[in-house]
Amino acid sequence: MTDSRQVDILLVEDNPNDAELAIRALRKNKLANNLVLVKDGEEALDFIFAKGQYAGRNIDDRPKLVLLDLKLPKIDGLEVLKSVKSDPRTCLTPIVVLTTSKEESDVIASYKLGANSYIVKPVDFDKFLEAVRELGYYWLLMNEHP
Amino acid sequence: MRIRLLLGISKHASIAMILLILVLLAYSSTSTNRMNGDLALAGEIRSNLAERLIVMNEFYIRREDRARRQWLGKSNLLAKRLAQVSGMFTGAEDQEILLEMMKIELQAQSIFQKIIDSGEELPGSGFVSDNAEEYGKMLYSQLLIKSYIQRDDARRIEEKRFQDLAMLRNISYWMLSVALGLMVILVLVNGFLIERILSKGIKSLKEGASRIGGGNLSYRLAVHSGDEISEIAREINRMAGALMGSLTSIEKLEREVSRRQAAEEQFRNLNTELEERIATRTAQLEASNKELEAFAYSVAHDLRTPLRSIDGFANILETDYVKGLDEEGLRLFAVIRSSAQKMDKLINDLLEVARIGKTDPVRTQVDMRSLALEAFRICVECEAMTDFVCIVHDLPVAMVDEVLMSRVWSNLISNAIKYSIPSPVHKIEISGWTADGMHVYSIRDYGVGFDQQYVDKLFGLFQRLHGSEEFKGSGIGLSIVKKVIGRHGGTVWAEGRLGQGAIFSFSVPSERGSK
Repeated sequence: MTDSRQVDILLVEDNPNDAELAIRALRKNKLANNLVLVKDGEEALDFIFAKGQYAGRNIDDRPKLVLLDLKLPKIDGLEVLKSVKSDPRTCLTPIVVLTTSKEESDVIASYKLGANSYIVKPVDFDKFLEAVRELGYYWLLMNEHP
Repeated sequence: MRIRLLLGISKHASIAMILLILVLLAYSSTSTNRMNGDLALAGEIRSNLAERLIVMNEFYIRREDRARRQWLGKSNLLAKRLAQVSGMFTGAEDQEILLEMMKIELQAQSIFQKIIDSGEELPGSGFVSDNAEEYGKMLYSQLLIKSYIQRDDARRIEEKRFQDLAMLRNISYWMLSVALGLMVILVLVNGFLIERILSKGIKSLKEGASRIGGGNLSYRLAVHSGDEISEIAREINRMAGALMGSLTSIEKLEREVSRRQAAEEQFRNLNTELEERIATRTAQLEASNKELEAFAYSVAHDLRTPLRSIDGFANILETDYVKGLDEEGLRLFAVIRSSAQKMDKLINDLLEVARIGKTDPVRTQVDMRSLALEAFRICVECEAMTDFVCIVHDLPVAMVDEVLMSRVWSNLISNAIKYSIPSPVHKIEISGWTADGMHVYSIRDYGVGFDQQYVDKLFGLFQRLHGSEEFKGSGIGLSIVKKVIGRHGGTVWAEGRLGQGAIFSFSVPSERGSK
């Protein structure tokens, strides 16, 4: 997954089942071509800032979209969001928070830290498919990247 | 009483003595005047005799007729005075002297007559016989003797008057002295007695007053006799008694006050303790609330993740591996998916109940009628029940949280629709009124109704009166209604009869802030 090609989506998700469902949903919508999955907040930051195991990566090869879960091991999603959005090299990367939490405090905190969108994963897989399709089309196809 | 009596005696005795002295003085003064008169008379008699003696000598020497007439005049005056005096001086000695004087006077007169007679026998011109001369001498001598005797007598009488006067004076002095002395003695004795009573009484009064004044209110003054001091002592005793009485009541009052103060103190302590306990409990409650929130958060997050997997993978099997499944297999996958979704709804509703309990309602003026109509519209759309009729009467505007209240309306209206579907009458009536400071709203349906004896179970969490096969629902909707209305300070109640529909009512305070 660490090839030199342009990465379209960075999926940050610790639960393998959820990750698989998300990837499946993206694939169904033909959006999972260049997808990287990382399993915790530390790995996500390593990838984005091209350090640690991703030290060989070019930091300017920004993913087109980061799908970020909030509840993560080691460094949680809100901290990842804060680090990325407060650094001038990475702040332009679009980040969509994709989580199970409907808590208002989480929603507000995410938007304050600069999240581009906030999506609650629905239990109903059909609705999840719908949601992934919409966000993928918007951020990957419709949106003009800087 | 004794002091006043003694003072009275002093006063009256003094007045009596002064009167007595005045009487004595008057008596002695008149007596003295009278005696002075007597003395003057006696003196006049004596000087008359002396003058007559001189006249007689003159007559004897010169034999002049003038002297003779003078002598006779004096003699007449003397006789008159003697007669006057003998009526006044009645003492035995005086009478005796006077009688002698009158007798001698008679003799003196006869002797003087003889002298005159002898002179006429021998006519003047200095030519007298020896015999006649001798005779004349003898007569003259006799008369002279008589005159001396009379003079002595007159002197005796005068002396007597002097003596009487002196005696009167003595007696007067003596009696005055006695009266004055008596008065002085009386006053002194009285004064002494009064002084003794007063000093003794005042001493005991002073001692008693200082003892009582020093705080010994049970002390009593000795009351012996019936005098004024004893009366004062009795009054002081009574005053001390009254003081002791009032002091006792003051002590009682003070005891009562201190008892109340102690009670108040105790009350305050209890209050403080209670407040501390309340603070502790509040802190505990807040802590457990926080815990509950954390719990709810993890429920929301963690319970849903496996659910999503169940639903997601079942869906993938259903769609991607449909070839290996028969109709029954597909049905079973559908059951799995619907169960997962139902559980998701349960979790969501539970979280909502918890959230309603946590946040305070944001009150604004809400048009309840339009809120109810909007809720009905959404419900009808959801249930696709277009043949339902909803009659909404005028409803009072209320100060409530609009979002929460729309949940109430939609829950109640969707219930009413849901339980009316099997019934032939698809009608809902909504009405409202204000009474006793509360706005009351009620929703009536003509559906399956319920047995009134289970009314208590209606609003309980997960409580259902109908099988879930019959009517879908989580059993949480009415709990949410009850919680929202409770947060607004109102109440919810329901009436129903099996097969005849139900009336659900709720109330909210008609004025903001009144709970």
